Amino acid sequence: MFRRRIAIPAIPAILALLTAACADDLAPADDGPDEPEITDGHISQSLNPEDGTWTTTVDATSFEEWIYYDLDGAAETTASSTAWDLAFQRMNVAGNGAEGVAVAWIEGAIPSPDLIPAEGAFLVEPSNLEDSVSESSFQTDDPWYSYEISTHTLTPHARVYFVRSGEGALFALTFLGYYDAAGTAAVPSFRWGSMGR
Amino acid sequence: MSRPLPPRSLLLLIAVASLPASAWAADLDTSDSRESGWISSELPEVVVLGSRVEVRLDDAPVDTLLITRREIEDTGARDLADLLESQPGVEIIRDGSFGAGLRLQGLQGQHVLVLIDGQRMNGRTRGNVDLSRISTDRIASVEVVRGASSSLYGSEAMGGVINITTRRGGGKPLEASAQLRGDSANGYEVRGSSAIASESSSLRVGAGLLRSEPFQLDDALPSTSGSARSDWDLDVRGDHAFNSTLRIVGNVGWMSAERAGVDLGAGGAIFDRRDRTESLSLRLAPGITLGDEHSLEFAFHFTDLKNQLLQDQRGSRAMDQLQIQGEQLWEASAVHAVRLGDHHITSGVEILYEHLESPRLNSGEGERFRPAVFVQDDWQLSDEPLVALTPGLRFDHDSDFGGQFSPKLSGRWEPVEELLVRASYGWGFRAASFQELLMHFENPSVGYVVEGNPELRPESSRGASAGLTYRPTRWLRADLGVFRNDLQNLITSATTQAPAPGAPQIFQYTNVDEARTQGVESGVRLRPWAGWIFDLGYTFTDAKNLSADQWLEGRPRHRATFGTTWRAEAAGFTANVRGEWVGERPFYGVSSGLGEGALRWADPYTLASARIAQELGANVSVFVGAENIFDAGNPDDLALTPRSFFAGVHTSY
Repeated sequence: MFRRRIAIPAIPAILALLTAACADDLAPADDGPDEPEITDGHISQSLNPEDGTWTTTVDATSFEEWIYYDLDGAAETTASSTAWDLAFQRMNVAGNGAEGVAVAWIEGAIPSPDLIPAEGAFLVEPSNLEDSVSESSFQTDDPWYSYEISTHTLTPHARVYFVRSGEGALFALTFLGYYDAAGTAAVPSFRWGSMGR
Repeated sequence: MSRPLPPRSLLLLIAVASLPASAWAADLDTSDSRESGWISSELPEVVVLGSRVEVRLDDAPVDTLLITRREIEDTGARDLADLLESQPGVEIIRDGSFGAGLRLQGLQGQHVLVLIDGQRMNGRTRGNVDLSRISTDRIASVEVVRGASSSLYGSEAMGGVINITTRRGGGKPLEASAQLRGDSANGYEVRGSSAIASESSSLRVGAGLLRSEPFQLDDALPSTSGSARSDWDLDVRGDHAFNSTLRIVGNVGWMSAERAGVDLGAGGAIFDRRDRTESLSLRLAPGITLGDEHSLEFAFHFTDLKNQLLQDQRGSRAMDQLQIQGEQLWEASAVHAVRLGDHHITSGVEILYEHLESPRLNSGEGERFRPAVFVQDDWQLSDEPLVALTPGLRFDHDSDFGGQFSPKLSGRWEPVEELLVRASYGWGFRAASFQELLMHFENPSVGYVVEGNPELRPESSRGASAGLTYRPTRWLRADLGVFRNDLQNLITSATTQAPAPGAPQIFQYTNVDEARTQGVESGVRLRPWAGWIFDLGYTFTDAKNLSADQWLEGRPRHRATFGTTWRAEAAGFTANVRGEWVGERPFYGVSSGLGEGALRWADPYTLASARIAQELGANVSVFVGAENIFDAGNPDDLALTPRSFFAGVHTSY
């Protein structure tokens, strides 16, 4: 008697609750790409028709791999090619010192031929990428970004970097950001253009 | 963030509502005369925490705060965190993301052991058991013992122990209740219970669901300050007495608690976070009465807990992360109690086995085995005046760090009937958790890594307390106590790699050499007129990390609690106001917002709530109220749900 009286009210409630409660496991939404949205290899870029400059975005999310870029050819290249001018890995940026790439920078956001530093201000980049983190003009103890410690956020300084390529051409470059539209880190973007020779 | 009620939930509501339902009534019947440990009792109250067997509150070897079912109902608190918020000496710590923890005597949640029917609750996040997971509808009473209690309970009982006794049937042969509650923040709660009892048996089934919306204290940010809640629970508790010697109690409990919110990561990444904990808990506790003052209690307990933490980056899957963690806890214990002349001797053995599987652990899993033996003698040296001494000793052998002795000596003296003096000195310890030993956890949304440290030693404490209870009349009770805890090898996370661009900050757990908490706790309860109860409490806490010569973060030096209840029994009306005033709290370093090492004192605040209830006939009552009346809270250091109003109806049979 006792058991029967218990079962009548309890069982429907238990079954209903357990049924309702057996929720599916959590899963992330299929709401975007697995990696930053990059259109071509590790590079997305577009030509700005009004002034002939490029806006280039690099997928530098790998902690091991460097991404190599040739300013003269406006294209991604490889480590084996001597044509590369700049390399990117996470927040690290370095020039190809082995091929004579040299860099100088000034404060400001808008490049112009009047602002090109004197030749003596250009420093040849380190010839070894391993040394670039401490020795590249993009890095040292005053890197191309500022770092907000409480939010771990990187923001580019308002600077113009002048880069003399391995082929002797001069380019001006300003960094625009370090994150893609979804906030994924290590996706630096920069605007750059030729300053002649 | 809110989701429509699924059809299965509607089925549940119908089922619950159709229960021939009021375990509440049963508890009311049995608890009318019950009062808190802070006031003089009209009838003897029974507590278990101080001796692991049932004794009268006044005979408890240590000072025990008791919150009865009647008081729980008067407050209208939804969960255990709400309930404890206004209790003297108990601090509730709100974490906007993961729930609510607590502090006792300035010691964090990881130093407080939380028991349900004498069995450990597991599933700690950042050291805390989420007290908001426990609905007050499940609770018959709550006991709190402050101060080192490892001599009876072992690891974690450094700052104290909380025991939740779940409700049972038994007031009437058949009873049932249902309650519906809604609030102005679009939250609602539906609960139902049904109980049945005979002379020798009882069985209670209770179930409920709760939903609430997230809240935002800084509208300029896309992130939430407090999470949405989506909780379910189901409890079945039965007991049966085979004869006057043998009885058995069994529980099956299932719950799911989900916290959902939005986090803002570095670089503007937005993460939808869902943190779901599901657990199944089983307990079987046979008891044998061998005579008037001679008993043997067994308990077998198993909890299987699963936690899923999803951080879902919006607009991309590049930084999505889902971590699933499984945790099993097995416990078995036998407690023998016997009175031999003036000695009331409790002794027992306990075996604990824990297993954890988690991607956050370096090895993917960890396990721990810890048998223990303990003995305590409550020795009454004199009747008139009452003088009693209670020495106790426990030995734990942990598979990670070896043996640990935990002695304690308590004493009580009643020089006159109106005055009770208590004092105790005990050792406490806490075994490092799996996370602290073995964790490797990366938080991509913020940019830090937490590393475990297998070399950690157990934390240990030496705790002393002394107190007076003064009861000159039936309408006044005053308590005054002092405490001090000296802590060695306190485990805390320290930066082992400073944050650098692109490289996360790395924290590792380490044993801080020395810390101290000390203070004064006081409380007054007045019952000047029939139906009125006034409570006032004040706590001074001085909590320092002595090694770093810094305050222990977040501990207010001054805290006051207040509560008033008015019960007009004849009119069926009850009103309750309660709350706390919390003084300035210290924060350092990045959490202070001022840079490394800088000290900031967060502003004081008052958290108060009020509730009135009116009976409408014999079976129905309605209630309305407000929570966080002064709208305390800020996005920096106080993730409190903004002011809200609630109303509901309760029906019982």
